[in-house]
Amino acid sequence: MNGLEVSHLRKSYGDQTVVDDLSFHVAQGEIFGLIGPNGAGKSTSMKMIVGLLKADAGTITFDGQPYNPRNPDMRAYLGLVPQELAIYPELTAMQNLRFFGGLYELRGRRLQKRIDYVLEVTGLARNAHQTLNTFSGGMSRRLNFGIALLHEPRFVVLDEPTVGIDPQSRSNLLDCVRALSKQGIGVLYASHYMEEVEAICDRLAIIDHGRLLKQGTLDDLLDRTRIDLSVKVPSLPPDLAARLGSSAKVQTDPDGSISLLIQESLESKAHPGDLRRVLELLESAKIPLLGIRAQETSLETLFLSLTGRTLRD
Amino acid sequence: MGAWIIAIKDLRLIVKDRGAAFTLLALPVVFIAILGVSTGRLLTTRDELKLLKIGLVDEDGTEIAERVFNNLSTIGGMKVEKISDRDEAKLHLQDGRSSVVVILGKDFHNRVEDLDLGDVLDAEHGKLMQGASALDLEVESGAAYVSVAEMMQYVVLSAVLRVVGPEVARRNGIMSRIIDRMIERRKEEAASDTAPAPLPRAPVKSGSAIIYQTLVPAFIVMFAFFLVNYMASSFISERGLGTLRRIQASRISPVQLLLGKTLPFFFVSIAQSFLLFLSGKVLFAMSWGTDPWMLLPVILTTSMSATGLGLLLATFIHTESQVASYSTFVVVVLAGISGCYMPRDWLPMFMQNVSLATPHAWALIAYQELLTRDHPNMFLVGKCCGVLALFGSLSFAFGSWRFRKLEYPA
Repeated sequence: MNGLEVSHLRKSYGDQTVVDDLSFHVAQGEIFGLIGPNGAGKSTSMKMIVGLLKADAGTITFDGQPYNPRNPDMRAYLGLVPQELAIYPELTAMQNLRFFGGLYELRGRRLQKRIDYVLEVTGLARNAHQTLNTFSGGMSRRLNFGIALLHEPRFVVLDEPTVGIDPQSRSNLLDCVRALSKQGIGVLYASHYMEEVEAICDRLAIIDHGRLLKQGTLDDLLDRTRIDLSVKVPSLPPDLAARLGSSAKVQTDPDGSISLLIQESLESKAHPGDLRRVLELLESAKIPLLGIRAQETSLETLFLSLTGRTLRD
Repeated sequence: MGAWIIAIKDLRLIVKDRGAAFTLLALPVVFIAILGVSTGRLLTTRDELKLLKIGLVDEDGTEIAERVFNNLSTIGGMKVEKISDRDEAKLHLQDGRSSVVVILGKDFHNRVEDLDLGDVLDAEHGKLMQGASALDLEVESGAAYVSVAEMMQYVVLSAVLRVVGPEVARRNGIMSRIIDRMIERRKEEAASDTAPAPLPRAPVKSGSAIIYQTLVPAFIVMFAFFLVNYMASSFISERGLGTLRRIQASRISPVQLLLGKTLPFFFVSIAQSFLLFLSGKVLFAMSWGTDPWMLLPVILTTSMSATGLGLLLATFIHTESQVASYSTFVVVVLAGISGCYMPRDWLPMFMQNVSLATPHAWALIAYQELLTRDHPNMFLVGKCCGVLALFGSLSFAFGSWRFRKLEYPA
């Protein structure tokens, strides 16, 4: 099969399993998002994929070939954008690019051509000879990203590449990632930012505690046939709350008012929905409505519903 | 080629790191210079260095006392100057202007008058049995010469007797005639062509230069191993920045990576040694020995063992605070055990044997052989270089093994 294939990947440290039977596939030219809370196993999975960590079990293949991290040609398949700013702040952008290009045996005119390309796409051409100490966070992030493209990899692995940067730099980076996809380069993109993943990923996987919870296209994951509704009332007598039953979830808001949360199907027009039943009950009890708010199910609500609201370290 | 790319990058980073450049290149020179200034060996002429400074208080004020002063002044290796009184002499001793103070008391000429030939010829039983005090002569040594104070007194007394002896002998009529006759005969012999040529005076060997032949290489060796800290820091920095992961994920093999990380420090170590030897020559007029070219293999193998040890320690040390504590501890302790802080000859035999477990000791032995011997034992120097090379190779191999185990588990 073409592309990156991860099958039944497993990694444990002592009794703790950090990656548990993880499987997914990234096709050439596809942007695949990997999301999960802190400690979900994203970085460990990525380290195994780029060959910096040995998996206890499972296989990784590129275009059907088992990935051998000891083979430098296979390592050159991949471009890595680490979560950290893996660049030398004392050196200039040009010196950094020359150094990292040299590590992939790029020399002379070919190296210069690739450096020019990276400086162009990251918008750093005018800053090439500045030391990175003088760079803003966004400029450093863009260079950190650009270095991974120097050797024309077939896959790029990005581990939270937009942490702590301004909207302009983020937009530039996301455009660059989209451009990679158009060039037929496969992208594995890990992030905490749901809107980024929603905006650029063709498919994505949600993982937690090392396990794959859900994967597919955004439409597969988000049920677009349902809508989340919130009916706000000033108060709710206990007997009425009991009569609402499963039609609505009752939530007390910080201002003391009550929100009735309802999931309404958009396809069951033939049958009276929960919203109608709730409104009838409120009207019969003469409880005034403060407002009704509707919102589509978002990746964030899905993510939280799958991974829970408990804080992670 | 990959190793060179990393090496050039690291050299660039070292050059940009002014703190590292100062510690590795300037600090040893400053350290040796401070040592030189504090021991009074720097910024003075070399002839001055060798002289024993003697202060003479002449309370007697007679002609014979003056002759004693003149006689002391003719002795090689001494610089004699007159001091007005005892209080001034004390100050001279305290602040180091005089190493030894000689006081000819008011009764000096009377005591000389009281001597007879028997006292001079049999000093152990006559009036001179009491030593210098019998002549109202006092000899006091400064702090640096306390351990040899008795010998100093003996030297000064001998110098005084060279003046006083003939004086006493001439008071005896027979002896006076014998002396005159001997002087006459010597004059005649000197005038005739058949007189045997006078034997050249045996050169007096001075140890002051040898001190620097020992101290300078000792500091060279000690500071060569300071590189260990910077090597460990370099690896920690790469880990912290995430650049190590990036390098590992590239086409570079683990061996290329390690060579690339080690070579710059090897070059810096060699440059450091050259600079310090040059400083030693300029600041202390130290000699590079009879075979200066033989210093090269010692420098190379010392640098090799220092960088090998640096790589090995880098695999055990993971934070900057560990560098500051453990790594510095190892460097300082090894330098202490090996004899970098004092001449190795001063160490007890047990410690000298224990020190052979350190690469520093082998480097010091090789330098000592080359810098302080007229005919260095080249076999010994070769053996030292061999041990240093072996130590460097084994450290590098063990460090590489540990590095691969830690950083390349896949």
